[in-house]
Amino acid sequence: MRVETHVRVDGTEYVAWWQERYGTVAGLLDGYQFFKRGTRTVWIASPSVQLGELAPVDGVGLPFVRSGSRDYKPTSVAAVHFGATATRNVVEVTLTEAQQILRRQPVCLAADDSRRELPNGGYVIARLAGVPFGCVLWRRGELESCVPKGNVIEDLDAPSLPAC
Amino acid sequence: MDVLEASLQRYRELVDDWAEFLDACRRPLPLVVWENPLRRDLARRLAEAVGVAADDGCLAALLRARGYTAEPVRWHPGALRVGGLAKPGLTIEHYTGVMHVQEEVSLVPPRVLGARAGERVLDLCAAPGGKTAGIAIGMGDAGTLVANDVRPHRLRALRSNCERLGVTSVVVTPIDGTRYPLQAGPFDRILLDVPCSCEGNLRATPGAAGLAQGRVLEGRSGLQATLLGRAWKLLAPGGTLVYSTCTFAPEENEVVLDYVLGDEAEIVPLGFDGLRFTAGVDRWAGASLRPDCTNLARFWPHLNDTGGFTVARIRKVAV
Repeated sequence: MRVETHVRVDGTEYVAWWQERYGTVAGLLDGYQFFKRGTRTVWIASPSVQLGELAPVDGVGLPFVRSGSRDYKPTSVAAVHFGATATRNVVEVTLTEAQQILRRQPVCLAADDSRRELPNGGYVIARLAGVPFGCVLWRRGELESCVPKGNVIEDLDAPSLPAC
Repeated sequence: MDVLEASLQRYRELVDDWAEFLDACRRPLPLVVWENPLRRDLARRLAEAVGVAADDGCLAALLRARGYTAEPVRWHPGALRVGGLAKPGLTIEHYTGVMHVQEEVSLVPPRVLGARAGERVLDLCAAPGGKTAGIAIGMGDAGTLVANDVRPHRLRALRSNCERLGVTSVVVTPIDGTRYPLQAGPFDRILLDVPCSCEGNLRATPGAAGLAQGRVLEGRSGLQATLLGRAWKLLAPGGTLVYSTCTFAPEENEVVLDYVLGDEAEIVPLGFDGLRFTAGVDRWAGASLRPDCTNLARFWPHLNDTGGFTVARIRKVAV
């Protein structure tokens, strides 16, 4: 029986995409290794990790991006881990909005909400008080929650602060 | 004598203060959390947002500013005993991996293992992953930390915790630990936090008291011995293996070590500044055990106001 395992891949394309889309601090992703298992998920791991003879492997480091569809989709894990310094495609939300997103409910932005100036559409990093907590899909005036079903929480307990 | 006391009677000769022990077993556990150094930037941002000093170790100030009490755990930097926080799993600090909730004595095995940056380390029965994350942080998230568990629902918890806490040096494997491939080794250090009868969790799960008896105990001991035998083969000469359980039963601790370990193993003494324990036993149920079993550390609930736990650090003598 063939054991499917993680294969190391060149991460140049993923690093370039992330930096271009989110404008995070320079060098943030330098040195990391990238792995793939199957066609969909790209994993990011410490440069020190050596798989050696390990098999089967269930995960290496952090899931970074889903590459199966037309657009790359950052994982929620990557949004939290690498999203603090994002300058583009990032949205600050209120506690109430964060609670909605973490319940997998959409957040509708009012017509006069300055946050509607988010460019185009696509996957956006959501931050509360400057702290990234997940990923949302911005389209048609709505922030659509991309929180994994297993990570849903009903009432997030966090400081109540206005969106920046 | 109530049910709890009756179920713990077999340990009476091992406990220094029986009344205090029973009293502690009847109290709920304090809530302990630790600040994640891998998410210090996010802790700093949260602290600044609520207007508190954003120094290193700002989780305590952050929690206090949010109306909770937070007292440092003396023996473990970054760990806090927190009061007034009924649902820590719902906090932004937990959700974003700024902090992790873990029973205080569960912080002991990663500390005792002492893994360093660049080493190859195996956590053979790793789920749900709190100890794995503790080991990774001790390694500065640099090296190869293989976290293994065979049970699918536990694997999900393991991955979820490592990912939430932002550990990038962990490789998760889903393999039966009793048959872990030898070609995956050798490892510089191995944590073997074996499946056990869990009676040390009796303060969190009152029904856990008295689980260590009869066929359950025999089955656990057999599995533990098999796991230890396999882990020992995976350990490099000169390497360190930490064996731990959350049970009081010598049959799951000293007796297993005595049965499996040979002359090339040395159970070494442990010491902690600010954490009390009693020595392991070298005699149980009429049988003599290897003399260095007394170097195993037994953490009883009343000694530090924690759950029950036992830990042994074993060195593989280089040949």
